[in-house]
Amino acid sequence: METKERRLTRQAYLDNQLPVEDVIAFEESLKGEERLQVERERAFEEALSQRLREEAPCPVAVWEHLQERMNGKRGRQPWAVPFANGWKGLAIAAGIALLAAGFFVWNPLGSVDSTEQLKSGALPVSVGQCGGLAEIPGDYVKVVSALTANRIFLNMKPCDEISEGHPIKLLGMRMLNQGDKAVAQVFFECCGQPISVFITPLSNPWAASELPMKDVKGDWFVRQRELDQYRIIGVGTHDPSEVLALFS
Amino acid sequence: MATLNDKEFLALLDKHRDEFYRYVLRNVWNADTAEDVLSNAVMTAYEHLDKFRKGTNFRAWMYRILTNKCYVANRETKRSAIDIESIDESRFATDQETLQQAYRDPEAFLKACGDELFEAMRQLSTNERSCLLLLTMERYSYTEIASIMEMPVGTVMTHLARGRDKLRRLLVDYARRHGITKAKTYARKYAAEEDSDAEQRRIS
Repeated sequence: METKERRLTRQAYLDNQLPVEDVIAFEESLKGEERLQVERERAFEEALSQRLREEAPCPVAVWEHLQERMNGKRGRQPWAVPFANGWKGLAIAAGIALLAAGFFVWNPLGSVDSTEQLKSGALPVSVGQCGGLAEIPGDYVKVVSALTANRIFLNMKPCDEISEGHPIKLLGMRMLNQGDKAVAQVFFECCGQPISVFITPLSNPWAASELPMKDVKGDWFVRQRELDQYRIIGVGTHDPSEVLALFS
Repeated sequence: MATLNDKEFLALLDKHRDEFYRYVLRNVWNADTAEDVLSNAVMTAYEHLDKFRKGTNFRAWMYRILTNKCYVANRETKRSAIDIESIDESRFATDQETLQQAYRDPEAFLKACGDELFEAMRQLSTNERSCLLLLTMERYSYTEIASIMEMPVGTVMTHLARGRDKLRRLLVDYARRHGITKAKTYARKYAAEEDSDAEQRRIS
């Protein structure tokens, strides 16, 4: 009758888990028929392993569903995390809020050199132009879905939630390619004026200073802030602060 | 303590998603449940991302979470509640002759058993099944499995031994009842091997 210790040693030998000295000792202890039996068991375990390792790829739908769930969580995190960390988190949040407020102070970049013409159609000068540039129509759900699909995981409130005093309308969005990085451009109308909001990951060095504003005639407002892992830049012939506040 | 950011987490998840899914599927044996378990495990990992130290073993960390979720899923569905030890031992009395025949051509034997292998796996406890899957499917060492399962190495070895023993008994019992090892393909292979052995003995 095989002892439990001997049985476990044989198992560890078959699983290649024995130290070298124990392997030598175990192999020396094997006798004729037992040696053959061990080899047969090894072959059986290998066949079992092969069978269990047969391909079973994660269905694409499961992976997409997972990403969607994570996106949903991610959208809530910027607000949830500071409070979850207690006073320390609140202090950090307050600091960030002060810094963010700094960005909202009037930015002299808002009136860039207005003597030149716009070189590209990146900045629509009229509300009517926005409709022509938008690849996704001004449907809130469609725009939010398109942002998520392009891996931009930010919350965007519906316009009517904070439009008091400054009527805001969502006009659509499109994706721009800046090198190997994508930039989302969301079109709004605020108080009858066109506003573009550019959203890009912080890892993308592209910034407001690269907008072709030097070619734009007239006064333009630029507001820039960092949110989570993204840089959002609001540009328009109306102050985009109210529009930027839609994002969290 | 450096932790993973969202992008890094997603990238690692993307890299290992197939093996994670396969592990869960083999553990709960139902595609719908596997999807739920994987989804819950990933969300749990995501919510506790700050607890994962960058540079440590991401796979092992995920397997620990996946195993816990499988354990809960199996307990909830009572899928792994069968205590083989409590069932009539004679049902699993290992037919040594059948077992030896299975050892002669394990690939053909397991192929002949078909989905019965998965049925047999379902009858192991979650601990036995998880240890077995982590070892045979994911190639983890005893020490790594012990770390993932949060149990001593000796307990891992015991789970493995018991799991394998049950698996063999169930498969052999199935094969004997269905005459698998008596099939013609087996008989032919057998005959050839016996002839070869006899020839070797004669030459020597």
